[in-house]
Formats: sequence, structure tokens, C-alpha cells
Amino acid sequence: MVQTGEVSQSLYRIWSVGLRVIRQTKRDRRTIVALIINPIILMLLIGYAFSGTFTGINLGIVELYSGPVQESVVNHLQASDTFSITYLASESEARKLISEGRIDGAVVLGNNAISLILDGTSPQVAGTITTVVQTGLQAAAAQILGSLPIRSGLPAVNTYYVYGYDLEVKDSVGPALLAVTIFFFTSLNTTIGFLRERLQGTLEKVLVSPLDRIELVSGYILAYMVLSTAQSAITFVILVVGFKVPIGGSLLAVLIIVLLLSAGSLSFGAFLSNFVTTEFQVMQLNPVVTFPQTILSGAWVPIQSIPGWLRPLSYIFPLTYACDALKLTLLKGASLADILYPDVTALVIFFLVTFFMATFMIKKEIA
Amino acid sequence: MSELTQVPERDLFAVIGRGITKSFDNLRVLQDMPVNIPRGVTYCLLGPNGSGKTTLMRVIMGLVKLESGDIYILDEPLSRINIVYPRLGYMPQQRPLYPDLTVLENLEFYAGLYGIRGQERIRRIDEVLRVVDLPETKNRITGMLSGGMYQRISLACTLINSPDLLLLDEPTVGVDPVTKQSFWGYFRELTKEGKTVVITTHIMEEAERCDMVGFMRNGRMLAESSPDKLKEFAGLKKQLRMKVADPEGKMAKLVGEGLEVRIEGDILFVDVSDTSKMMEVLDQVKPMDFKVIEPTLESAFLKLAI
Ligand SMILES: Nc1ncnc2c1ncn2[C@@H]1O[C@H](COP(=O)(O)OP(=O)(O)O)[C@@H](O)[C@H]1O
Ligand SMILES: [Mg+2]
Repeated sequence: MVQTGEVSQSLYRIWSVGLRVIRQTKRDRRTIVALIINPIILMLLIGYAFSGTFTGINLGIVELYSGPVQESVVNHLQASDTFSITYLASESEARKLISEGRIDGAVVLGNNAISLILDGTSPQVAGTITTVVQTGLQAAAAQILGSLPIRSGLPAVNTYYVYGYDLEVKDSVGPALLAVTIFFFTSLNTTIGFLRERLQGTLEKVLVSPLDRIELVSGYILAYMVLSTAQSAITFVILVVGFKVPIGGSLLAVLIIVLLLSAGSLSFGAFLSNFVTTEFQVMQLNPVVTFPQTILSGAWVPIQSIPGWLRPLSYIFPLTYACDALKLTLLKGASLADILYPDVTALVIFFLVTFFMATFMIKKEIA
Repeated sequence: MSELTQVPERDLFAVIGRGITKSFDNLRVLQDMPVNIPRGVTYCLLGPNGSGKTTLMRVIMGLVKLESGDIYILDEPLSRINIVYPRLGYMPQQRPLYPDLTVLENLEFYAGLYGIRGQERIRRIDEVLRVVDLPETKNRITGMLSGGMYQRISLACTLINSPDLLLLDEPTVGVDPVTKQSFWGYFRELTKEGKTVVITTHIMEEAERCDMVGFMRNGRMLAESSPDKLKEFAGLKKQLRMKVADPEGKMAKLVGEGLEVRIEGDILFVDVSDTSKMMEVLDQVKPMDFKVIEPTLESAFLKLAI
């Protein structure tokens, strides 16, 4: 069987390249640190910046009805030094003041319902108000349950956003951060990696061997699959242990998304290396390519809040689909079947196109 | 079909090419060049910087697309270069090593590309490290090695697949004299095993040590032959340097016989075509003292390059 022999030879060459890349990464302490520390630092920073405690939030209170529960909530809000409180006459006045930016949100205490009027453009502030009102309500519930024989009279909490959407910032940033880190780390490292191969003369030497271009890129992909999986695992632990982000969905689906994104980013990075001649140029080129993607991918702000004329860009960028897929699987428990279209499909196309460009360009560069 | 398909002894050559032409953008780098590299010799591409030596090597290995021309490598046409790759050993000018890996890891990687594994890999690695006299460096980080050692490890990596044809681009540049000496020893050993070693250089003395030299200039092959033949080709002869009692009289006599003679005080310089002519002249002149001056490759090169 000549053919199986050839396949196993080819796999062995791919394996040799992969092993070499992993050994190189292992040697490079700064890369290892970047691999492990970057997502941790980013997540901690973003996690704290987005979910830290606030002071001086201007809060309006509209007391339409005064009962024990309502009073308990008000006491809670007053006790917290997060807020400076203004008492308002009506809900419409509250809405007006929020529109004008004079207050950050308002609590309307009715008989059967407590309404939160929030400014969706400041999700962190909105989140803080919601949390404090809810804890006040829980305290009230505990009192009432202690004094009343039956669970009744507890008003429902309704939340209304004046602008924007319900952003679970630190939750949604976690999965997106995973995608951004993998894209950034993988593409940057491969661009530099392939550039060095060219400058060192190893690329030429390797091409004058039985190894072909497809096997070369595949070997890199193999190595970065391992590295990206490790990076995902780290990010995962931080999300689950550090930020207590509820993880639903299939881990297999998550892994598939991560590997597809990693393989695509790698090929993309290899392709980019054809346009640079120094590592300094890589540092200049990389942000041009990664920043717009990161900003428009829905990682930080929802796609829906990106102006219409920019949105086509969002839908071109592979990171958008990776972020979306990871959010859906990690936070909303989606299965692989749920994200097959468009997310997984888009990532497969991204990979195939960049893989072709990467291998084609190596050939062209040598021609 | 091309003219090379007709060459009957094509398989005697490691590399044979005709009409090799290559331009980068508008710059003609190789112009209608022939190349004839017999098997089992050390062959030197000699020429000043920018004359196209590296480009010719890259063309031969299919790394650069040929504009026009016809090349056979180890009896395969350039279009089938892929099947020759397992038998080639290339050392680019930059020294193709991964500086962050250990010597062993570098060798293991290159062995892997050629499908060398297991016991055979261990054996081959030991063997090539012995060839370059560096068995003790196995576990050292390659980037920490001295320049000469780095070069020798590059050569070891190039030898890992026991190539039949070695193409070494400026292998002795930046190498200390001791290492340089050992390199020439390796090359001799390799050709003894029937392997072909092609090197590039711009240094005459290096070329002089090779079996064959290809003189290149501005992308042209000026001449291809052994260093001795090349001197002949350039019309250079041995010179007799003789101290004589009556220089003017002796000179007139020699000139009368049609010989090329130069005089400096009581010393005569006479060009002689061969040994018998030399004996004849010595018999006739009977100098007090004499010396034979061999023509240098440099003078041949200067003469050809004009
Ligand atoms: N990839 C390339 N693109 C453009 N010009 C090139 C390229 N490679 C070589 N050259 C040019 O070709 C000429 C010959 O270069 P080279 O083959 O490296 O010479 P040598 O090895 O003899 O010093 C030089 O003028 C060089 O600038
Ligand atoms: Mg050169």
C-alpha cells in the first residue's frame, strides 16, 4: 500500500513541524507568559472595570406607594453610599431627567411593581442599580416572610431600559475575550514566526525537503491547536472560578469554535507575513488588522449598537462569528447544531480562504 | 525538445543546465547561462557579490522560477524537482537553524522532515555530529553557540539526510581559519563517498581548492573548468624568476626565440608554457638562482573578467 505509506510520511512531517513550533514556544518564556498571563490580566481588568463598585451614581426615586417592602428598598438605597438620591414626582419626570443625562437611573415604587428606569448606554451603572434594588427587595422579602404566614404582597421587579439593551457586560465579555485573545495571539505569533523563518533561511531549507507548503502550514496549525486549547482552558477556569460565569452548552462545540478560529487566525497571520520584512513592521501592521475586528466584532459593544454603515464590516470579520458562537454556547447553552449557521459556517469559510491564501502566497513568494 | 534531452552522458552530471535566464523586475540576474557540475566533485561558483551565485543555486533547487532555460538535477528535469528533494542538502547563506532550540532539537526537526525516525534518527544524528566534531553540543541552545560552531551545526543539519548533492551558499564566510580548514576536510570526505558538493564564494583561494570552478560575473558564466585549466584558458603561464650575471644579453637571446621576457635589475622573468620549455630555458641561461612562479587564479580571473 504505497498510498498509506505516503500519508503516514506526510503526517509524520506535519507532526515534526508541530513539535518544533511547540518546543520553540516552550523555550520562549515571554510567549508563554503572554499565553497564560494576557487573558488573565485582561479578564481581571475588564471584569473589575465593568463590575466594580461605583460611587456618586445619581438616582431618582419616585414613591408612588409606600408600604413595608417599598420602605425597605428605599432604606437600602439610602444606606448604600453608591448613590446620591433625588426624590421625584413622577415616572415621566424620571425619564426626562435620564434623557437629559441629569440622573443615571430611577426607581419607581408602585403598589404592585417596582420599576427600574435605566440608562442602557451605561450598562455598568444600570447593573449596579439593579443589584442594589434586588438586594433591598430580598431583605424586604426576608422580613415579610418572617412576619407573614403566606408569601404574598411581594411586588414584582420590572426593568425597563431607556437606551440600549440588557448588557450582561462581564458575562458577555468573557467569551468574547477568549475569541479576541486567540485571534490576536495566534495571528501575531504566526506572522512573526513565518517572518523569522524567512529571515533565518529555515523557510528555504525546509522547502528544499520533502515537506510541502500545505504540510508546513498544517504543522503550525497542529501546534497552535494545542496552544489555543491550553489558552481556552485557562480562560475557562478564570471565567468559571473567578467570575462565576454560568457555563452552559457543549464544551465540544466550544472547542470546535476555538480550533476553527485558531486555524483561521494562524493562516491569516502566515499570509500577513508576506507583507512585512521586519518585526517592527509586524507590530505596526497587526493593530491595523486586529483592532477594527476587535471593536466591531460585538466583543465590547453589541453588533446592534454599531451604526448601520459600519455593520457590513462586522459581518465580514470572522471574530464576530467566533464571539457570537462562544457567547451562545457558553452563556446560553447552545449546541453545535444551533450555531452551525451562520457562525461555524463562517469560521470554516474563513479558515479555508486564509489557508489557501497562506499556502498560495508562500509559493508565490518563492516563485 | 530541449537540447539537454539529447545529451548522452547527462547522468554523469549532478547538475547540467543550458540557457538559464532569470530577471527580477527589470534586472537581468542570470543571462543565458550554462552550468555543468559533474558528479562526485567539489564545484565552486566564484564571483563578486551580486553576480548571481545565490540566485543560480535557488534556480537549481526550484526556489526561484526559471524564466527560460533547461536544467537537469540528478538526472531529473527541473519540473520534477520534488522527487529530488530527499536527495538534496541545502545550506542558505543565513544559516538555517532555530536559535531558540537545542542542537538536538534542530537535528531532530530536520530528520523528521526526511522521515528519519527511531533508532535510525539517533544513529544519523550521532553520525553528523561526529562529522562536524561537535558531539558534545547536543543539549546546548543553538543560539548560544559561537559563530563557527553555529556554522558547523548548520552543516550537520544539511547532512542529516545523507544528500547526494550538497548546495552550500558561502559556507565559510565568517568562519575562523581552523573551522574553515575542517570544512574543506569534510568536503573532501563527502566527495570521496561520491557526493557532489557545490559551494559559492567570492574568495579566490577557496575556489582554488575545488575540483571545478564556475566563474560568474554579472549573471554570466565566463568559464567553467578546473582551476588549472582555467589559468591555461586565461592564457596564463608559469613564470621563471632568474637571477643572472648578464641580464641584457640573456634577455635579447630569449626574446629572439620568441619568449615573453621582463627585466628588473639583474632579474629576468620569463613565461614558460610547460616543464620541458622550462628546462630548456634553465639550461640555456644557467642562472645563479631561480624560482618558479605559479599563476594565481586571481590573475586568471582578472584577465577573464576584463
Ligand atoms: N528576490 C530578489 N528580488 C529582486 N532582486 C534580487 C532578488 N534576489 C537577488 N536579487 C538581485 O540579483 C542580483 C544577484 O544576487 P545574488 O544572486 O544574491 O548574488 P550573489 O549571491 O552572487 O551575491 C543582485 O543584484 C540582487 O540584488
Ligand atoms: Mg549570495
